[in-house]
Amino acid sequence: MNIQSNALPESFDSQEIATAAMAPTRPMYWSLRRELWENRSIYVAPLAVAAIYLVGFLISLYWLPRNMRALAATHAPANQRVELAMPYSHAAMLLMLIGFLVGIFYSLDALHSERRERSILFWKSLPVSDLTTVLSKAIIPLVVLPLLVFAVTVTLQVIMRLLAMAVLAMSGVGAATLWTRLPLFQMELVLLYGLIVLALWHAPIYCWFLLVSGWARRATFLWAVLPPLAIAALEYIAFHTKYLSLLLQDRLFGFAAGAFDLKDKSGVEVDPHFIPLAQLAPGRFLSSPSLWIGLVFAAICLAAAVRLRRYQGPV
Amino acid sequence: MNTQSNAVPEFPRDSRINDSQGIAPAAMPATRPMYWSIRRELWENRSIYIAPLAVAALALFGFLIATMGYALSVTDPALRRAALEGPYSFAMGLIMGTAFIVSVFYSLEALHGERRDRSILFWKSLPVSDLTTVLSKASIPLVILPLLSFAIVVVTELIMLGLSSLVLMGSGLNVATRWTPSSLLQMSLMLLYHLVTVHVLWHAPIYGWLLLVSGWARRAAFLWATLPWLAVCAVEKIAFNTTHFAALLGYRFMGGPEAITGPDSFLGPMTQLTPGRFLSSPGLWIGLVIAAGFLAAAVRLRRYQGPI
Repeated sequence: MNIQSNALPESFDSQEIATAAMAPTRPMYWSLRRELWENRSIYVAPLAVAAIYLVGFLISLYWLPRNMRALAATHAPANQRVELAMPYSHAAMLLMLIGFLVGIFYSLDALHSERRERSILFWKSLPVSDLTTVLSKAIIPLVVLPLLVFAVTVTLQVIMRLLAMAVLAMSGVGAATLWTRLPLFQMELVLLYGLIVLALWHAPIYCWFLLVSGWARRATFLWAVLPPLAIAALEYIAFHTKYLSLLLQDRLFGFAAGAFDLKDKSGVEVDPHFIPLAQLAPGRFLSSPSLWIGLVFAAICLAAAVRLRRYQGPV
Repeated sequence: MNTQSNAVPEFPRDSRINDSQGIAPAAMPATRPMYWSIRRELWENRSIYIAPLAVAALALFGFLIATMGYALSVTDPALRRAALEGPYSFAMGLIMGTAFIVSVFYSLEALHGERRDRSILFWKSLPVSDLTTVLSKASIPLVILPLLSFAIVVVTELIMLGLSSLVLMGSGLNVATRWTPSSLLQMSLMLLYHLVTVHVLWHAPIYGWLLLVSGWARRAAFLWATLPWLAVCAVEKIAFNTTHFAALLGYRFMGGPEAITGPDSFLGPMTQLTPGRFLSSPGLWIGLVIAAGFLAAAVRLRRYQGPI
């Protein structure tokens, strides 16, 4: 590179050399920008759902003062928290679900559509390695989407909270209950923790879908989903055991039991609508072998996808 | 069309091409394009028949292991019988579930894939109307796949019956299990009824909607197909704290509850079937009208669509 740069006429300045020198990060940055440009559903879908949810919340504000009075009459102050947190945690759950759906279908499309529409010929002509491309595509569901969901959810929750407090203050019920019963940063912290846990736990799913999307010529969803299901069914018919289906189920939903203490110290089940900070169990989650086995599987899938992309052309 | 055929010069007359065969396709334009459009779909989407066949083969393989390995290893006749009878309805559900997944993703891809890979330019250049194309694509989940899964299920069950009879005979047990050939015939009839009522008539609006979205969305067809419904459910829940819309969607997905009474849908007597109640339920007819509306919109839309 240096020899080449030196051989160039002097009009090519230090800028040229600088871009050539920071090769590892610039292609990655622009690959990520490319993914966001090409797949606007990554941010449009969560934003649209958040906007729609806000509309629904605005309508429900009409009943809020009445509900608050009823809540104060029927529930002891200690039990009001879960009820108060309900709309906020529903918003977070909905957006997490949307993020999961978007991530799944983004991964299934990521390496497939560029082959389908032949744009892979252009992208491979650029000096961007297969590793960078595949990693940038994996970063979208594993990093970008969780961060985006977090930002959208927190913004939505803040707007909802402000609106609710304004309505309560104007109707004479008083905004203080909502403010004191619902600690400001706690739900957001739990949400961030939950999103990180979810990304780590679901990483093998996304990476498997990426691998299938780079490999299958058609019907990516069927190739991604049917083989595990069929093998699980085969196992059930042949041996009357359910190990594989339990394993798949654990991979989809097991993060909750792995990363949170679902029962508090007195053995009472924690309501998932409002999880106190004391119930988080990051140590147990990080030391669980199935997390690390899943991450190894994810890394193998990604390596295979990188290797595969070298030999793939348009389908 | 006829004048055109007559205007063709006479020199190829002697060859076989321009004989009655050559004129016949021009004279029956209504069915030939439809037939070849369906052939085209089957050629282009081989998963339509490969996926159910593969799942059936896997189920048979598992059954083989179960009969040869597990059932022969247990000595208790009752246990052995249970091991042999269990997989029938499981395999049936498995094949039908596969057919359902294939139908959903086929419909989402049907009008989208040809725009994506620009082959729509070629297909629209052919003298095949948009109506024929869309109907041929709708007939895959509504006619071809139910028939196909019916055939595959019946063949699979017949092979399983043969295998388990062999095993039972070899072990000196009474061959007459719950799955005799006559009960198998009854089960096939029940299965056909279930496929026609639930998978075709009751789910028709779902496939119509998926086809419409696939013809309309530029990207992310699955998200466009599912997210609006999810969003409506969420808004209703948060705004009014009711779940009528979600119940409506569940009612549509869970399949016409009017078509059958009783819990054990395939093993019970034929008297459980209530076709009259099913055909007179308003949900069925409203659903069919909605499906027709979706399909008409998809036909209309295809006229103005090009590659994306």
